[in-house]
Amino acid sequence: MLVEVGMKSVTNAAADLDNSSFVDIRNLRVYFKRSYDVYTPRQHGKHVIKAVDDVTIQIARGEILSIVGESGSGKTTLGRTVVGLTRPTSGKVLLEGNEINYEDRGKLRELWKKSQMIFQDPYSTFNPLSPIHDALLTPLKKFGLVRSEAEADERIESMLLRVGLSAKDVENKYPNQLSGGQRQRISIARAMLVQPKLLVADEPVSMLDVSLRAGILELIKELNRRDKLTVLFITHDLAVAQYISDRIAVMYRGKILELGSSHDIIDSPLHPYTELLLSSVPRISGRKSWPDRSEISLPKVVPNDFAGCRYYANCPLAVDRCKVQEPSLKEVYSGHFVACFLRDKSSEIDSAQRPAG
Amino acid sequence: MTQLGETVTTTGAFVQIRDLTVTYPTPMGELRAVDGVNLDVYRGEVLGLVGESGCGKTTLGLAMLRMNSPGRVVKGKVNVDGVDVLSLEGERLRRYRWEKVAMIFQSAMNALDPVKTVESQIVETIVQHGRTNKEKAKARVRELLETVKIDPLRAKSFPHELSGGMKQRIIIALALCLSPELLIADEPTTALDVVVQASILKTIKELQERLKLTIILITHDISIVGEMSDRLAIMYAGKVVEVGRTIDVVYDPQHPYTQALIKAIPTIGYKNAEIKGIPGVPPNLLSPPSGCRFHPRCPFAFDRCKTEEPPLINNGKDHVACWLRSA
Amino acid sequence: MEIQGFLRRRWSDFKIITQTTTGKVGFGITLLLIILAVFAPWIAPYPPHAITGPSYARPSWSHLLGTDDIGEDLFSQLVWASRGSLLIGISAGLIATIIGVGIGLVSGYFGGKTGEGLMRLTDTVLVLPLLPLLIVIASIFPSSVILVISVIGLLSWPATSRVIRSQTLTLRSRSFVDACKLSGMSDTEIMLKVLLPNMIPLAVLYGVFAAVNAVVIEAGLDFIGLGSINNLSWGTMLYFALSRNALLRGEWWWFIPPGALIAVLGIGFILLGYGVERIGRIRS
Repeated sequence: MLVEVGMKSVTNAAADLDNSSFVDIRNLRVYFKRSYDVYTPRQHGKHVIKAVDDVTIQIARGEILSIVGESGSGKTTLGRTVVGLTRPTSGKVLLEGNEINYEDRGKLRELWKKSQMIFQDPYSTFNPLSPIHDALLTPLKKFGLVRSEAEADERIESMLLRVGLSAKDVENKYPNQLSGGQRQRISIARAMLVQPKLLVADEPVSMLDVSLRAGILELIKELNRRDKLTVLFITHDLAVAQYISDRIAVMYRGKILELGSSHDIIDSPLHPYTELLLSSVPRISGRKSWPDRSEISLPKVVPNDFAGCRYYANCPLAVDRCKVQEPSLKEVYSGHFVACFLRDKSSEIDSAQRPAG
Repeated sequence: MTQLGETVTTTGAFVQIRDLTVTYPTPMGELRAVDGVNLDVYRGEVLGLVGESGCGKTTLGLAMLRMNSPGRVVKGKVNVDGVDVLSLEGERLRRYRWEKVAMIFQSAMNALDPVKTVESQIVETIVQHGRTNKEKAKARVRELLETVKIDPLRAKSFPHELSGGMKQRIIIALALCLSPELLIADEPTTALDVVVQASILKTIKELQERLKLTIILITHDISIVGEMSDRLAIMYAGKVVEVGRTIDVVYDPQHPYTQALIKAIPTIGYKNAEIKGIPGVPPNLLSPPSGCRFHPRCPFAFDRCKTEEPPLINNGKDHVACWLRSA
Repeated sequence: MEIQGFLRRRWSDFKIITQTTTGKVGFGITLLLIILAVFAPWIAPYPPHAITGPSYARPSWSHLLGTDDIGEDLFSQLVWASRGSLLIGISAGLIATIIGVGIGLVSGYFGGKTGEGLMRLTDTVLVLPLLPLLIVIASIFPSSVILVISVIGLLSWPATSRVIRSQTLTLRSRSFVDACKLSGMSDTEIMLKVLLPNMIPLAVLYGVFAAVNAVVIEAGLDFIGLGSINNLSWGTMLYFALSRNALLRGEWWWFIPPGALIAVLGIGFILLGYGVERIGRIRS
């Protein structure tokens, strides 16, 4: 299911998209054995969790791509694999044309000079026993980016300033003495100290108070604008995804169901799941209509050998074909892709066909 | 202009809270989680209680059930349907809790007893209140499960066999099992996926209409209350800073904090609308700022704000505690 | 600068330990016993094996706990025996802790086949019965303290390793381990410099259990005559008390103090262990 993503300039006027794919994810599969040790991927087996199941997507240099999905969609696993923390079961990830070598720790180290990640929980992202200064010094030392203590101090101080913090206030403190918002900013500082070209942000604001989120989002946007930082933004919050990203990919149970510019996804969604997500988002002004399917609280689990569309069991529009064949991502409009027989304008499906029982 | 601090019988509200102060003991002194709060809740309405972490909204909710321990109520009155809740003792307090007012606690779905079936947990609650026997209780359980849209066959399931959304519905069923008139829901949908969240909220809304419940919905997410509640109360640093009809508060917020809160969240469909965070950090409740608690972070603060604390005043549109809006 | 910070942390650790009554008592007892052992030559009035009085003497001012069957001062023996018992407890505890932490850390950090293999090993060692095995070994091989300590240490580590592995798994799921990897730290560095310090309180707690267990088992071994009589410990005192008829003669001043001190050591160590574990809970 190789898909060529047409590179088009998106509505975000500030983004200057390069015409080469910066991150190239090809047929990526990450499967986990269903045992108490979830960190070691395995292939084929009875109890396999297919966290990422044959995903192919490219990220352009300088763009902000959001992966939107609920829990179990595989978005975090995808992010971790792109940054080298989780090993794929099959498929490959290329950064700037170079395939990531997951076996070689030395090569991974080289990767981490270019590609970094920030995590969801600002409270557990730091070693509680180390003061902040040490946490920030580590990447500089380990990657050999500074030649002296003084140079390190200077870079740390200016980076903290960059993320909106005063070095004097936070440097010598321990993580539990700082607020969630401050910790998340320091998290970003730590990632940015190595001057990466790619940042994977895994739900960076979901655990922060509402009033603190804008600051972090603005910071990421500014890093993207000023430093041409490419961002893979993982979130379950469509409003945040729309706000920050150029393009959005909607993930469900390991597959990408829809991909397009954030404008397209939000204003003219194609996939029934995307429509469901959009109608579920709470609106302060009151929603237009409630999703009419309360049975959604019982998502039916799809067995691993199911041949059809992942969304079949919960889809209100499913037809027979959806049960036996899996739709692939097809470009319906320029830059807007969807994996659904009923919405990808394939001529074989008549929209008047009766939905399956 | 009337102040909200009138005597108990004048407003006729279902819940009347007057000058409530709740403190928690900490190694560094008494922390005032709720400080001099006045609030009315009318029968049959959904009141949204919104604020960020540490503002005192959960404490306020717990106070209505007298469940603040280890904190304590040091001042004020809480009246529910004419009953002085703070003076209830023993049997009357037991009757009050869960039969008059029930609560959905934060992360309650994680507190379900893992070794008991759903049915037995609800039955236990019903029977312990001495209302009916086991048989009738079981019938009630089936009725409740249907009300919260759970297949009654699931009554014999254990909590770990249920998804997050289903567990939360069980929690709602547990809260409603003795037919309370007031339901306090503290963050009922945090930690749930957005689709499940929508279905739970929809169920709560339907329940409210059908059972004529009065609901206090506590949350940090103002977009939820925006669509669920009739009136909205905004809390900051232990105080209520604005109260009014949801439409008014959302479309024409009076208090600078409310305005900032609304501007801080991205809204679907308004991609290019700028969002802004609020500079600074919430105050330390052990030594809150003098005057208006929000003044260090308020873009409109002037002298009076720093020295005198503004009272909650009805300014014609809604109730606001802000010197900009009074006189 | 670093040493200053380190010392400051240790001082605040000390304060945390001694905040609770449990911690105070545990720390106090352990400190007293260590002082007893270290300063034995000064505290004990006589050398332990010097004949300084009549046999089977009752307690008196010159012999606080009386004398044994050949006239050695029992109080001095008691004081000197603290060295023997503490040596056993601390050494065996240390061996068990080092092995347990090592295996637990590696197993928890790497997971997969390595992890599971190590866990199978742990389970195997766990089911080996310590005392019967010791009895068999002691009856075959010439009695030696080193042998006893080694065997106890080599069989007591599973409890520690299971707990450490569990804690490692928990810590590994926290993003700071990932952040360390992204910062360029090697696996060894992460295990030793980041995870281990976070688990020291827990390791100490379980190490203390192993230590106390060691002292009691060794005393039991001595009591049945299989221990190393050369190493003077409270256990060996009990052995002599039994074999020299102190029980028959009702000379409680001979056999009660050693047993009581073993109990006191156990209590002191364990309470101290709880106190130390508090550090871990408070710091994270």
